[in-house]
Amino acid sequence: MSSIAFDNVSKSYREKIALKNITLTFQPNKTTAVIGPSGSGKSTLIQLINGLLRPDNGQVSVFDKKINYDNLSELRRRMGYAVQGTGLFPHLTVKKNITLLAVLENWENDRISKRAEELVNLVNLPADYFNKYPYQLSGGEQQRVGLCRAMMLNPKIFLLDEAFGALDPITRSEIHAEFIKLQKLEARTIILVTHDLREAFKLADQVVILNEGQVEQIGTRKEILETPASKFVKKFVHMQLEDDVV
Amino acid sequence: MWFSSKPSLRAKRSNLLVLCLEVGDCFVASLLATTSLWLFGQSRIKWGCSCLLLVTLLFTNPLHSQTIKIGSKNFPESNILAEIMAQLLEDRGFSVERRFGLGGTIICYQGLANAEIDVYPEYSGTIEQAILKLKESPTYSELQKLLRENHSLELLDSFGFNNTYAFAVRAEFAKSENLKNMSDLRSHPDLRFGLSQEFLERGDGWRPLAKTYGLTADPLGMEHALSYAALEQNKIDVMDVYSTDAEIQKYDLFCLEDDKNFFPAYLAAPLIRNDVSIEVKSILNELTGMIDNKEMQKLNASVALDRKSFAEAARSFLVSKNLLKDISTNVSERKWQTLAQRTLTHLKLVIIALLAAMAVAIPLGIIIYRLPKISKPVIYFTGLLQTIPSIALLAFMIAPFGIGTVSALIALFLYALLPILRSTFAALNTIDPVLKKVSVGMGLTTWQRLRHIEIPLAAPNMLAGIRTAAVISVGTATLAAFIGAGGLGQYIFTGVTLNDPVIIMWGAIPAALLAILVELIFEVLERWLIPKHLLQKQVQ
Repeated sequence: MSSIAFDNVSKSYREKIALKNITLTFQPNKTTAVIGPSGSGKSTLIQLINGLLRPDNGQVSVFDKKINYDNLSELRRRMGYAVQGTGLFPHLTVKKNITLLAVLENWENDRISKRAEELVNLVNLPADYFNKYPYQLSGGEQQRVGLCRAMMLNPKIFLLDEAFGALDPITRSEIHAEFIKLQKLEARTIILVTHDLREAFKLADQVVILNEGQVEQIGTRKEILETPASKFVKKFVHMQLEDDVV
Repeated sequence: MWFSSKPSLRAKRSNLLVLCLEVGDCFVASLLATTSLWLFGQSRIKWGCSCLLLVTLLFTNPLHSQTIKIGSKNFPESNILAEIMAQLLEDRGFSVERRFGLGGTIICYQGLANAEIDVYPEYSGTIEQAILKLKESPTYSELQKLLRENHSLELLDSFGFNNTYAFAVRAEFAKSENLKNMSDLRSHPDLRFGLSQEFLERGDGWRPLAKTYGLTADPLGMEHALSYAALEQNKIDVMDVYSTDAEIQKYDLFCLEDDKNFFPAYLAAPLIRNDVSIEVKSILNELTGMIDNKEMQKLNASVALDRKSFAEAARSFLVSKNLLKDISTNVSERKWQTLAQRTLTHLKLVIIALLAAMAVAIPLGIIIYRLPKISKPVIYFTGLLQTIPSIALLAFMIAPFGIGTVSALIALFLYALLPILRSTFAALNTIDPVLKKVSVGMGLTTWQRLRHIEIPLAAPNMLAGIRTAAVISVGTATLAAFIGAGGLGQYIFTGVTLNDPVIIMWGAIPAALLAILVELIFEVLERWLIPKHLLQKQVQ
């Protein structure tokens, strides 16, 4: 199963503790948002899943197996990864950005082209964008290309590290709509790190609220709004939503 | 006579070594450079690599024909004598490689010992004192025997002049005072002596001379070049000269006979390797006794005062002595041929050194990028190489690698390392960290990241470093002439020794044009290899 589990995981940078004794299971084929103020450890958490970071203590399991740190590339290719600001490679065309992994996996050309076209259709990008360079695209278009690239090998797990953070509100809500459409089409296990609670509520089945390296609450939108687990959650939710009203 | 023209085994072997080094250098350098560039993975770059490889192969000439390599020191007289030998041998159908203007006695002698040159003009006194460091003065034939038996070298019979110290007076003054010998100075205690500072101070200079000839004068220390004018203007009466100085004729001076043989003899003659064919030696022997002091003064004057080239001076001498069989070839035609040849040599030095430096510095830059712990010492070390003055670095190369191309290539290679290494390292380190993180997170292996992401992104800055190295190399390669590697620097060295700006320009202008050409080539390469928007980014 495409599940992800943290078993008593701790991680610190020099003196500073980033995550403390986290035990957590992300439900397969659901979207889980990870949210919290900056420094709460949410970025650390997502980087522990694809092995960019190694836990000091405890164990991270992906696809029901403990991570094998000797062969991370293989594991990472089975997980789509997109970051804030798209991270598209400026020297490669749109098509080469999208298909890079498939080329390295030695897919046949026909299969590569077919899959790439399928993906750009899915995110509503015109196919003649293939030969453009990232700098010629708008932020929203770049973000879509980033999603296509992450989906190229059809991974069952999808890691989005503030992937929509740098977009303007209109573009962002367009991308959100596409995101929901994609997830309906074929459900994946998605971990979405965000600092925007509204985005989390909109896209995720389940929300994890982190504070100072610890989990404050795991729950659905309803659970968090109606039964906040701590004073912090209450305050955090209040601030985030009030902020929105303004 | 085939056996006599066959070089000895030793010479053959060292020739072979030089050849292997040269050919090997080209091959290894271009292959490595090609491989390291292959990392870019773009078809255009692969194409460019193949072109570079082809160019290198064109420059590599694996079949050296049997040529006589003639050396000379870096002053006009040595150049003229070497050119006379060269033209004479060419006239008799030999092909000649000129390695003129080598930076001094030891470099020439080493070159001869290592078979990097076959013959050069040398002076008996220099052999005695500077090369063999003998305590006693052997006769000329003893010296010839000594060289033949202990050093496998042959000192041919002298050209016929003795370039030693001499005391000179105005010719008409010598006549009126009836001065012929140095001993005659004794009866003129009131004469005013203007002597060079060096002569006054050296141990075998004025003091023992005064003792030998019983002179009591109190000489004035003077700058040598000024003494001529002082003598002409009657401000002094006697000065020290070299007996073949061009000025002796110009100022109409008379050299007094060294009747007590105080000055050591500096008889000029070809110093030649034993294993050079008898035919060559016998041709060179035709020059025996052909150049007396007056003739040499004339030759020196025609170069120093009449601004003739060495080739022209040598040619008119050979023609005047009826030594040439074929007088139809024209010296001035060779001028352009020589220029083309030197330019090509220059380019060859630069290209090979640059390719080798790329082959080493690019992978090294990548290694130290991956292993930051060793980056500082490595960059520090290559930086240290850069601080060694280029002429010194070239000189250092002579001991291990001998004179000539190999040494020059190694020195140029060492110089080109730093700009390429530093730019590679810096370029890789300044890649946007988000892109690095994404490429790791996507699941690219270390090698794939390097090849598909990091090197292409670093390419613009790397190329800038290679460009800097190339331009530096074009300039530094002019110094290669100092150790006999040829190139455009030969004009510059000759021009400097003759104090002739025109000759310097013959080297300086093509060298400057080459530098501009290199800039242009890199400009084109850059446009061709690197997507435009990446370059714009760089400018911003």
